[in-house]
Amino acid sequence: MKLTRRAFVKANAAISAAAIAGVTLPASATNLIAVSDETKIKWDKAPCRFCGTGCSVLVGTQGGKVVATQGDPEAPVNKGLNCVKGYFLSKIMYGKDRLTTPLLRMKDGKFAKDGEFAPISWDQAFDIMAEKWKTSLKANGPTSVGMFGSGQWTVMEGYAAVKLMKAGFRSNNIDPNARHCMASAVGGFMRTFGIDEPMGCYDDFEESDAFVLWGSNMAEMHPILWTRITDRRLSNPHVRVNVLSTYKHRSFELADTGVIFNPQSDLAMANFIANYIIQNDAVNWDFVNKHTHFKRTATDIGYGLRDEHPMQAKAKNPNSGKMTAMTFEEYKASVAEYTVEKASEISGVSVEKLIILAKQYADPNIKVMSLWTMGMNQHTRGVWMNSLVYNIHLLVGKISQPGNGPFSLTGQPSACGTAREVGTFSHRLPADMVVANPKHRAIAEKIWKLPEGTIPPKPGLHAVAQNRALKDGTLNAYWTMCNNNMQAAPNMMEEGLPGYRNPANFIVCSDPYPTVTAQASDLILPTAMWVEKEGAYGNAERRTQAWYQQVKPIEGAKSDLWQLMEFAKRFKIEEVWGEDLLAKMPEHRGKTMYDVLYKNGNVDAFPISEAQELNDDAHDQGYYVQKGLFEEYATFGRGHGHDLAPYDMYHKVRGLRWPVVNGVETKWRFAEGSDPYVGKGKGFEFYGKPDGKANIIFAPYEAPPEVPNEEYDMWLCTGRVLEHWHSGSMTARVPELYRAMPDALCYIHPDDAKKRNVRRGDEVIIESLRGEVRCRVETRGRNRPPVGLVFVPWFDARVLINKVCLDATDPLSKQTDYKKCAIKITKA
Amino acid sequence: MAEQEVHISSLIIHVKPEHLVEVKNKISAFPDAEIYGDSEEGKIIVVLETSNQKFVTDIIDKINNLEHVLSTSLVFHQIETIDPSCEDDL
Repeated sequence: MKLTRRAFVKANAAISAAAIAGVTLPASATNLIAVSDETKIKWDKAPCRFCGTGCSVLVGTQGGKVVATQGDPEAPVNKGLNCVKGYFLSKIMYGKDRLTTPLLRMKDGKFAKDGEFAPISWDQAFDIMAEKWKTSLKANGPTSVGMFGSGQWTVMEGYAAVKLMKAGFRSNNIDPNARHCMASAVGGFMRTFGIDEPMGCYDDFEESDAFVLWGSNMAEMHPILWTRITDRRLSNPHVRVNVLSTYKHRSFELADTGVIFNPQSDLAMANFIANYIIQNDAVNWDFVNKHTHFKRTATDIGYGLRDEHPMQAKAKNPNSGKMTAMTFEEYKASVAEYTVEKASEISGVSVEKLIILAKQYADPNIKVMSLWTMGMNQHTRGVWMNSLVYNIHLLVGKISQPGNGPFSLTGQPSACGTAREVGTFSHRLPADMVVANPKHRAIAEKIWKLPEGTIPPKPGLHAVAQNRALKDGTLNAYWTMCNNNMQAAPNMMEEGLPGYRNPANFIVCSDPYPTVTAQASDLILPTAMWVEKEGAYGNAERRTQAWYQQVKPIEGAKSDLWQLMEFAKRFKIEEVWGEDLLAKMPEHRGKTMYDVLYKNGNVDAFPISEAQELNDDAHDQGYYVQKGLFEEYATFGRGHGHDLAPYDMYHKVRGLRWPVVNGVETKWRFAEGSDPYVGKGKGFEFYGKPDGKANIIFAPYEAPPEVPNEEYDMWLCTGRVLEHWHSGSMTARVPELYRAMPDALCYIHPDDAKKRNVRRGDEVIIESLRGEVRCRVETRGRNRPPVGLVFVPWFDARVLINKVCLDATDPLSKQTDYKKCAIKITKA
Repeated sequence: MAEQEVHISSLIIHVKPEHLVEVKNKISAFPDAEIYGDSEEGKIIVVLETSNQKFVTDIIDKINNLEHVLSTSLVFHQIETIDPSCEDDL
């Protein structure tokens, strides 16, 4: 048989795809498999660098460079599939403008806030940084230094950063960009269940009868999970897919029921469904009586704006998360107000569709999975809304069972693993603990072998508050790492940019690329990424996955972990701690901050011989640093419902879902038989709460802070697209992805376009009270907004839509609402 | 003769089963796409062969935007360097 190499590779490609899809190929194609392949590619696994799904990919390296990627057929998450971003993953490291040297703003050979970027050495970079930090600490104390981190940090990097800030510098001013995406989800979990992260897992997709997407566009944002839903729907005709959104998008293609609702009205719809369940006698009384309490939450809590903002000043109970007990009868009366007519009036959704939706939750024979991401979390009532969905599932007992459960999806690869589980938030510590709790601080100080009183008790500045403090000049030495917050944070022109450029501040940005954030900073540090280092991520279904370093970093770039540790070496402990602390542990006198935090017998416990030959971070420190950090971190959760397996095991498997007890992962938490923490005979136990009961929390519909008026007459909703990941700092550098979606467009209804005398492709000015951007309009694209709303993605550094967005946050979670503000559109 | 880069990749296309034939016909019309198999549940196995200049995503985007296509997943991607003057037999 004559066969060209090209034909062989093609047949090989077809066979891989067919095996995964379960499609039988004609014999002529499968015969080719007998021919052996001679390629010298070395394959190794790694979780994808992008979203929170946590697909495993096989990375093929040759000659020190990544040359091929393949969906990992052994991975339970993606079963061999890749989305278009994952497919081009290898190229994110090879953008033409990769940074290879530290860059400092300089004039006449010296740092100058208004200088031009010029190359300096790593030594010089740490010199100027240390000088600025020391000056700031001396003049204004620990609260004047801060850090903005990431749900893309590896678990070890996030953990090292928390120690550096909270124990080393003794400042709680560390927050991750996950504040922008997951904080409301965390708030909902903690209030309802007392423990963070979903109870179910991706196995639910193959068991569920009905899917309800609450404001999520999974087809573009979680394409691999969407494939699993598509598979389930197409091979099981009884399955129903319900897609709820404020505009029509790609996920509507598969929808049996597509629902367009008015912004903010999800609160009313969820309360209506609870009311419908009660009115139609569908409450699962056995479950509700055994496993739940009823609570009501304080209302009129403001919008997380600056205190002097008129919309904030009006609030009766600003920022109050107070909950008070109520009876079922009181709860029933509270939701009774949300009749189908009222819900229909608030939401603009037909009575018929609302009932179709409610019936699926109410029917005991239909297993329902609710799914959401930013639509619900980026919401000034996001914490409330998360709990309102839990209310529905708890009322009918559809939770913690295969196919039945609420599932909060994540947007970043380690929003769960690093930001949430490690606790890189300004108020948190590892394993769901908080700085405000003296017992929690004591546990952390004991594990870290530090004197009592090291960790400050007052929560630090959250994301939006950091930008405000930079502008106000109260936060002065600031390090932003592994994120692009200038592009991502709201109200850029009034808060972010003036904060970074404030002459009182010194801003450091670590990134592989010259992002918008890097360009707004004073010092840029070139950073190694993804498989240029060893690390671990935790995905949305509690799955922890580790990978080995597979290539050398681009010359000059260093990992975040290396940067954190080397910076720590620049401080004598006397320079960051007071005499009171030192007196409690005099053995630390004269040591560096690095010695105290990392050479503590835990982090440096594992010899270099255990690490791979290619592991720059380990060889630079002289011990297996990733394992030491991971094992010290894992101490926090073992035996407390957050158990992680021994580190080495994660290199052998395609991830494990915590709690991992005796080597066994947990698929459905809180359910007897599946979760080892549930007592025998309990059935279900929500052990995050002291009495094992979850809270059903009533919260009403409350209006959003800014609504369209006569002048600013449209809603603006921002979000993501399939081809680009978040701010596009990586994906825009992949030519294929850039070409597929080069510019952010303003998706608008044809009637709205006509009314403003603009045609498809015309340039428009989008303007709010805060700023304006220019971009082109699209009336026929993949997103079809209703009259009165436009959708603009935020990936495009040339269309900085966050100049326009309002910095209103959920008052409880402090997460920004990027989905609603008032704008006007005029022809450019 | 200069070496030539070839991108070979495979896709799984999910379509509404009742429109399988119609979508297959449309995909067959793309010059760089070849159908290797399909199933009644609405899955089509497509292999793409594109040169360096033509971008894989162009075709993916076109397929993705066809009516009745629900999702497109990518499985395999390899960059081959082939000297067109002496393509070896295996």
